[in-house]
Amino acid sequence: MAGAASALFLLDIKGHVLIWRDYRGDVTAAQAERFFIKHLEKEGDPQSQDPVVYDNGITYMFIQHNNVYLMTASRQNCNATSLLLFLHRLVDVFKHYFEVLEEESLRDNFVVVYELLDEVMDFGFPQYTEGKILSEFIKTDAYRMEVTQRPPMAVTNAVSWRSEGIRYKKNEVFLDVVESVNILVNSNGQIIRSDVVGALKMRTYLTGMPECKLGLNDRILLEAQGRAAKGKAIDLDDIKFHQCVRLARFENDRTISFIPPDGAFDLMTYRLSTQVKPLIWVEAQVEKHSRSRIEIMVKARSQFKERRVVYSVLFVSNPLQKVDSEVGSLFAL
Amino acid sequence: MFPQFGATAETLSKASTMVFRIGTDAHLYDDPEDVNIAPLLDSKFDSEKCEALKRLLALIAQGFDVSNFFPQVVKNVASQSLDVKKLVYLYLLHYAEKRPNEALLSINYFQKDLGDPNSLVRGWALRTMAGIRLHVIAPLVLVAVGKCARDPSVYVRKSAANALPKLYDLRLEEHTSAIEEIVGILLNDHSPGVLGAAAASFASICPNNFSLIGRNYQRLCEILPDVEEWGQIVLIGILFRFVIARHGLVKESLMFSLHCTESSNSENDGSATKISVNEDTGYVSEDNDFGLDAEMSGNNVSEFAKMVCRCYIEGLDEYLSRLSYTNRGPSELNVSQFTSGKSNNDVKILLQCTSPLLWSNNSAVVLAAAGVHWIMAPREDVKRIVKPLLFVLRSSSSSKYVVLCNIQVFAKAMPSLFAPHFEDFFICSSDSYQIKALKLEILSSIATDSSISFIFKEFQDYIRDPDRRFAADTVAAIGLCAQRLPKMANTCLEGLLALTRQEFVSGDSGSVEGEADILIQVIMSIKSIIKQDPSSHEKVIIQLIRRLDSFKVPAARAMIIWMVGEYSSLGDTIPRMLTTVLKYLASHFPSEALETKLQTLNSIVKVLLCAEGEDLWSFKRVLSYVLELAECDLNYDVRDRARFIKKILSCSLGSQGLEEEINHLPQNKEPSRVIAEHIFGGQMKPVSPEPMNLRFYLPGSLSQIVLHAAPGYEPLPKPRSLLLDDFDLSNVDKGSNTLERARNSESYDTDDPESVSGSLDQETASDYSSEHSITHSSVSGGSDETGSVNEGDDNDDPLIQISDVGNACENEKGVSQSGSADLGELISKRGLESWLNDQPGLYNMSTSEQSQVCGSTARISIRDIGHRVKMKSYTLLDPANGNGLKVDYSFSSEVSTVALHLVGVEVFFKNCSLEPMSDIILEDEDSSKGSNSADQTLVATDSFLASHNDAPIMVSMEEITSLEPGQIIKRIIQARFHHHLLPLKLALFCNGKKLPVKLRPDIGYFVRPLTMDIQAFTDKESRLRGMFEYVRSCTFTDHVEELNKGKGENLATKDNILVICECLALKMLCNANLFLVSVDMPVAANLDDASGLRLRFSSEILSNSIPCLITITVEGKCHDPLEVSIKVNCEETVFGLNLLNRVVNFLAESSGVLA
Repeated sequence: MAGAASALFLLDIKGHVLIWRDYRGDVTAAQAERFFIKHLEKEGDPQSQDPVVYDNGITYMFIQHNNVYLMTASRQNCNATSLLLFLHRLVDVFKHYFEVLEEESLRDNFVVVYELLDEVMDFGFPQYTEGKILSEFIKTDAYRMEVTQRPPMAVTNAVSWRSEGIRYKKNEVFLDVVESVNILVNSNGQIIRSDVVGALKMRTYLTGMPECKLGLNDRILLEAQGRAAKGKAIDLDDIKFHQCVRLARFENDRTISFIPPDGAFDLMTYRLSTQVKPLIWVEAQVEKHSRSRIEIMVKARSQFKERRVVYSVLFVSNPLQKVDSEVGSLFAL
Repeated sequence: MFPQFGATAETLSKASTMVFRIGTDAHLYDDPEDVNIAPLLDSKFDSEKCEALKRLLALIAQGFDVSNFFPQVVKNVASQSLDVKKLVYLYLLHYAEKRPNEALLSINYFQKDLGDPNSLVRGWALRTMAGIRLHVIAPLVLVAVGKCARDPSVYVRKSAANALPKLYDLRLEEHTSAIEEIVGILLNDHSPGVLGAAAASFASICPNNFSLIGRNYQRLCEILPDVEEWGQIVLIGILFRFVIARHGLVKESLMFSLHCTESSNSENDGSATKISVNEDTGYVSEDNDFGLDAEMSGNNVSEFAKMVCRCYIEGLDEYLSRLSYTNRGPSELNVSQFTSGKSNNDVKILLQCTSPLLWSNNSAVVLAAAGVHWIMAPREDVKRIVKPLLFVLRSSSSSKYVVLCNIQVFAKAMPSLFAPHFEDFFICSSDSYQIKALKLEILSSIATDSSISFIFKEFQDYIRDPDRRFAADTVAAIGLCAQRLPKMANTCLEGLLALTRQEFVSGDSGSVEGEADILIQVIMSIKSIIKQDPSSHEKVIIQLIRRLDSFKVPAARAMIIWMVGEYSSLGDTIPRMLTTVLKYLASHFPSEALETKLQTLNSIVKVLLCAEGEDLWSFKRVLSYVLELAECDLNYDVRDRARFIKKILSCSLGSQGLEEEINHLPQNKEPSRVIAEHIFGGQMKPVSPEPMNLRFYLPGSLSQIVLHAAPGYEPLPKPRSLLLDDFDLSNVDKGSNTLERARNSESYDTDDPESVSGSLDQETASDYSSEHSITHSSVSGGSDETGSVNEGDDNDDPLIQISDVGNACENEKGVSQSGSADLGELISKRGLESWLNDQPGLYNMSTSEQSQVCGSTARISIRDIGHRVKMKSYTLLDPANGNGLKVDYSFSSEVSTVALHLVGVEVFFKNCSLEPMSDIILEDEDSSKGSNSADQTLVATDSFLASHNDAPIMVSMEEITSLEPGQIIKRIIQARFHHHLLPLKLALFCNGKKLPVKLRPDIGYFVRPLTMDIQAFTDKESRLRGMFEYVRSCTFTDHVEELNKGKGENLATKDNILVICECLALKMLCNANLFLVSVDMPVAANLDDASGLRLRFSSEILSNSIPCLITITVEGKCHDPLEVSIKVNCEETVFGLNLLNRVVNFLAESSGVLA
């Protein structure tokens, strides 16, 4: 179990090292670069690659983001999931700092990147990966003149996601529920699977260390309290909570209690696998008229209630492979 | 002064242009060398230093070597500005190894920073200092870490925890213990932030030092949800390993059900196909008591799951090697390695604390928690992990891949788990190929009769996927599904057949290669389905053969031709078709591809060998025609094959007259024909299980994804390898810390007896079921020992295990052999080596002779001991008190077959009166409860027997119905003594009268021999120093008599020292149940000087298997009374001390016991 990353690389789209941080000194940049370039050449489409590759005693794990690859190298047995997730978190951290993560922004902020790499991972073990916390002691502004710089209370605190001493004149909490519907339709037009993935997005502007509680029409909770479900009760079982939610408490008495981080965060994400009617039903008919002409009829039918209006519906048409090849042959003629 | 000023002016102007590009360092990265860096480093202004350092960093990032600035940069470490400091640190870490001498200059500044009031500065300083990989400064860093581990600031303590692995990585052998101590301190920390880092350092420094965890186990569990997420992952792993090592696997868990008899679990639905005992695989013995688990629908699946579990625990090699055992041993081993999850608090706590983590946002945490539940949770609770795992699938595609890799193993081992969620594994067009392949594999392993129709509908779409590689995989998956669900075979075949037609139709357009692959895959799937039950799929074969002409792909053709040969005698229709088919094949032979040609040849021969009657004639003609063609083929493989066939079948082909001969009599078969039949006729073999992927690693580990054990991968620790009291003692020792901790450890202790008794009950249970006590003792001994003696787990050889150096008369034979062999080997090796080393030259001749003598005589003497060991007998009942019944008893060295903590006592009943006696029985004095309570209090203070309160005091003996005058009857009873000093009160019934008797314990028999080699002994001994070691000395005189006796008989060959050693060993073995580990001969010129003779004995305490080591060292001349010092090393200090006193007593006792 005792495995840690040996080094972390930020590579450009061609596989050249932009910035790298050596943690354990057993993988060199040249080695990694050689591997990666070779790997890119071998596999045509980087999107469809195995994210974990073993090569010559070193295991490389990488993800791609825009035109940058983030890669860790390790010589040990480490937790693959955690390292991959760490890379994703790193992307989030960089995004938090530079808005966009791409080669250019890395170049522009390389000093901060170095500082961050120093802080997010120590000797190959992931450390704080909360962008908000990190930004309290690693500042982007080059001309800051701060007299005392101390580790934020969050780092030293049991509550690592919130700093102490936050003050607002007006205490506000915003709660948004954002749901996305995933539907899998087979070629006959039957819905095979549909589920809803939702997130409770919160924005909190609260003073001090507030303890918040969220009540939901959770079936188990209602039944435990002896209140028969009057309206609709939901089954809360397929959920994920933000770090701040006291999981042990939820396990015991189903109350969602937490000390929220300051600002915006996803309190909880959930998944409901219920039958959902797709909002818009699209049917397409393809007719081949001749070798050079194809007629595609797309019918979109809205299935939501009349009084609602949907904006910005976007159709993305994927040029079919068949069309491609036939058009190709046409040009060849 | 001036140039510097100039430089400053220049940079000032530069700075003014920079104002327009505030906030970005892009220009520094793009052209870092557009100014002179050196003067900037010496600037008075922090901002300039900063800029210079940034330029340096840019150069480093671009791969330039800027180590020549090192001295100048190091100087800046003293800067007050945090920005400068941080940048200097970054630079320093990069080059410290290259410039060790200059790096040393910085140490003073670090030391100063460590005293800084700002905790951030302290933390950074420590981090950087530890990051400098220089051996020279390691001791300094260690001191600093030790100091920082007690720092008031959490951040600094966390840095200290992070620094430890770095230190450890430098391989500082001499500091290992100090580092581990700091790990212990940090694990005691109350801040969750520190604990995460401490867990990481524990995992990389001393992952098997479970005593550190044991002390804090409960607290660590409670704090687990508060630890930061990355630490949680590591901590879960540590706690999990600890529980496995301490308590073993859980009886209610999935892993257990894979091993043990548990046929009645009907709470799980699913189609239960009876598992037939597979003769081929050698699982026969285990399958007998193997639970026909309802979840396992097929032999392959259950074996798969079993293998997964095995691989988790011991890795592949051990697993395979154990298969060679055919006795019941292995399964028994498992039983003793399990614990009950319901009664075991530690297991419960772990499961409780990890289950909320299944809702964590961090997918790695979810996976780690799921892994724990997968292995530990009761079976009905395992399904808790399903939904969280499926939710994780919704995250990024790369973690999707990793999670799928793990789900794949879960799904194969327990298909019912994921079967209802098959829809989640349907493929999305955006999935990458790897993910698609994994999903297909999972789908084909979780398909059930109810879901298969939906899955097939999906598969039909997948086959039309533009990615033909994926389509081919789908076809293979259909084949797999059909094999798993025989009911679906027909539907699958129909679908596949339809596919062959369709493929063929559309085969000419699009990518030909991909279509060919699919076709091959289709035929292969069909082939494997048919193989399962050829007779019911006859029509399919016929159809394929009929359409042979339409298949153009050589590999597909070859497979169909193979089917022709293989199933030539199946049913009625096929044999009738054969002639035509063969003729067709022959006519197409020249235009075929290589593999088809070869297969054609094979098939024709196969057909020929099975054929009878008039067909034979035509087949022969076909064959000889084809052979002729083949002999002129361009390819030498085909030519060779043809010649080979011709040679083998020369007789049957040669003349037509031979036909009769062949059909004549079977026994007249020519050898060549027999050979041919063997080669070509090996058809209709039972379906052998698919070669399974044997590589399983723990869930979540990298190894599971790359499918090989990555360096540093460790399987789970051996179940229950951790000695029970290993840390309980240390718990008591160090229990004087904070109040809170004391409370924790206390509560922990109170949990303990319960779990211990639970587990011991289990051992008892396993014992009852085992008919072979020897096997059991070896097994449990082995499993217990692994914790204490790491290298000692190779003693699963029962022969060696029972070798308690033969004080048991029954075992004489095996014992004397093994014991003597051990001793002889040891003596010859150790004696000879030390001899040769110490006295070269002069004594060479005599010594080699001497050592030979030693070796040979030692062998004799030990065998003698085996015979001569006699139990000392005590009187239980005097004939005067017992109306003429005399009862004597002696302790038996046999390990009890009922329970480990029972002491075997041989009781001899003798009738000294003149009348026969009847109904003699010895029983536990039930009425004496009152007096027992006094003992009970003693027991409570003495933890050593505390756990057996509920066990019966005595296994009652068989009643003696009548005892004739003068007759002696022996009975063996097994008693449990409350205390190793207090007598046990028993009641003896004779002729209906009750006589109270007292059975006095002998502490020498509260131990059982523990086999170990000298290395293990010294290793163990070195760990039991200090308060665990007791020494006493006494005078030993027995040998004087023995030597005087020897004088008269002129035993020239017998060495004086050997006599002493024999005497001592005999005396020890007669009085205590020990194992003689080694005898060290004195290495001195004077043969009469016995000083330095050293005997080592090992044993373990019956009740708790704590090893107890005894070393006897002799001083003095051979013919004088010897000064003997006895040393006992034992963790159970009270017991050790009492045993020592006992040993001293009987050694000092003058002989008379000896014959």
